[in-house]
Amino acid sequence: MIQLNNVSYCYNENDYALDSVSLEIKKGEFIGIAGRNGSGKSTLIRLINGLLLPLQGNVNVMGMDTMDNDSIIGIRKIAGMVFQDPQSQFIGMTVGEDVAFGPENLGLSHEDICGRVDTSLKAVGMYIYKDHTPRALSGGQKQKVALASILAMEPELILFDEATSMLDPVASEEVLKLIKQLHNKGVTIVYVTHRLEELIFADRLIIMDKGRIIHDDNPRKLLNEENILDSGIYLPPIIELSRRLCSEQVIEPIRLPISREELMEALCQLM
Amino acid sequence: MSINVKDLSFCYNRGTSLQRDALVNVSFSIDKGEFVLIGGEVGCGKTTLLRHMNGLLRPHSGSVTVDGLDAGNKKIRSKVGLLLQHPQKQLFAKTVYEDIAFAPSNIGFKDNELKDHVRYAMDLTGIDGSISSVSPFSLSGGEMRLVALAGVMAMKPEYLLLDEPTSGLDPENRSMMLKTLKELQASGVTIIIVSHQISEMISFAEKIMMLNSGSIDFIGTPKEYIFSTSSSLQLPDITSLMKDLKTAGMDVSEDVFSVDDALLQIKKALLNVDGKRNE
Ligand SMILES: Nc1ncnc2c1ncn2[C@@H]1O[C@H](COP(=O)(O)OP(=O)(O)OP(=O)(O)O)[C@@H](O)[C@H]1O
Ligand SMILES: Nc1ncnc2c1ncn2[C@@H]1O[C@H](COP(=O)(O)OP(=O)(O)O)[C@@H](O)[C@H]1O
Ligand SMILES: [Mg+2]
Ligand SMILES: [Mg+2]
Repeated sequence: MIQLNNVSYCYNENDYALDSVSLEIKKGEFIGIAGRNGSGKSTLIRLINGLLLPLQGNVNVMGMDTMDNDSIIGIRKIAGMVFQDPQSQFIGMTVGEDVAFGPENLGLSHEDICGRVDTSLKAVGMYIYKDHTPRALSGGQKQKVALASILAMEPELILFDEATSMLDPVASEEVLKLIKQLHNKGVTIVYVTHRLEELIFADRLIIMDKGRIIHDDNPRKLLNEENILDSGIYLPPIIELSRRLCSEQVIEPIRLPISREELMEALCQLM
Repeated sequence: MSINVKDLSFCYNRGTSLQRDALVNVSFSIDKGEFVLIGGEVGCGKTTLLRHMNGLLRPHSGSVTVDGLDAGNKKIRSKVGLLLQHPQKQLFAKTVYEDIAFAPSNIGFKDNELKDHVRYAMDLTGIDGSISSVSPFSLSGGEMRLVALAGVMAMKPEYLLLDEPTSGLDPENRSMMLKTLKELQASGVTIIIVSHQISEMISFAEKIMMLNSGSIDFIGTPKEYIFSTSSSLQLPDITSLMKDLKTAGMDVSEDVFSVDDALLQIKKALLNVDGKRNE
């Protein structure tokens, strides 16, 4: 579905924000990405949907090269992106208009558009704000509306760049549930976050550092690795506890528990 | 010496069809020197409340006073600093130094006095002098946040309000920010933080306040927070685990936030169980 071959990018001369990255993402995969501030996560995301073009190498999304002028429109139709700062994403006068903008560009009928706007605003709990101006919303509400705008387009691929950073724990759990449902329906998901708790069920967890991919593996395997902390990520407290319980032989280190439920189960067996 | 909020109510778009209550009859007080966490779901009124505490918004009813002065008083702006939810918006000058010096020079500080304010802010936030002549926009997300904080601290405020100071920061920058805030508190500054990451900061806090649709849902110490029976409160994962283990019959206590403590308790409890088994 997505293929990057030796892709490099610099904002400033000789300062590589992305440094010969190669990556293949299959249709329907859920890819989690984490890494330090400035490690190149947003740059990678922007290269995938053609907001940035590679200085070296090439980026291919469903057979379309992002360097091809004609492909960009095609890529935008199948790839939705939720930005880190939702402010930059608003165009409409009201929340409703804003969410309608994407589907309108897809050339849908009026009824279809209205239906999609209402459904996606309800899905994120922002339907009651339909007639409000997006600029007067709270930080987290803006993120929810930005998410609804993308849901309304029903894309095949969604790129999330720290899209839940301003949500409370309950809301971000709900959004994550929504994203998992999309994933189950076959939508390809690329999800950038600093909260690794959100990525334990991902098909692959990618860790970036200094413009490179330094890890790309199954999350359970990766989170159990000795030197994983060197890459600037932190371990969610539950996973840190699991690792220490394993290393002190309190629980058997066969399969590292990576969620509260799993750890609970492992400990209850010992009681 | 304290912040006193009494029966505060506020709504946006008053008198229009879009009218919405943002704060309803909110009352509480914060003592000088405290470390306070404010949480609550998206849109519940946290930012609106902060903006009342430094006089950016005026109450529609009720009152907000800081050390006995009405928050609308001009003196409040230098007494109470506010770090915005999007601190990038708080940066605008050509260099880091100019950015930090902006507020104090704006109210008339010059020469040595101005330098002294800037030095104070840079020392407190641990900003290295070597970056004082670079553009704030060339810095990393974490550094930008610290520069914005230094810009606020350059006014030497006694009260510091922070709106989601760690969102978007990576783990290293987050702990740098939290360490800085703890040091600020040690130097006498009252710290009031709005955050969705209550569990990350709970061990720093002396008081926790949760809002729900513009009203106070909970106010108390971290211990009271953890033992509260209100189901709307989000507990740290570790604490939830300990609670579940206790319910399942393991001999552990539930007021545990840290991995170290949890590990100790679990090991002790399991050994006890083994001990009994051996009897
Ligand atoms: N400038 C504004 N004009 C109109 N309504 C507003 C404005 N700012 C906020 N509101 C509304 O007031 C309520 C409280 O918003 P506030 O920004 O205080 O929430 P918050 O608790 O800080 O949320 P978040 O966690 O998302 O930052 C929300 O319903 C919001 O939509
Ligand atoms: N618009 C920009 N102009 C100049 N440099 C940038 C810009 N955006 C990002 N960078 C730089 O590129 C590098 C990678 O940044 P980014 O992809 O935003 O990282 P992340 O999303 O992982 O925090 C950093 O060194 C950053 O400072
Ligand atoms: Mg980024
Ligand atoms: Mg807010």
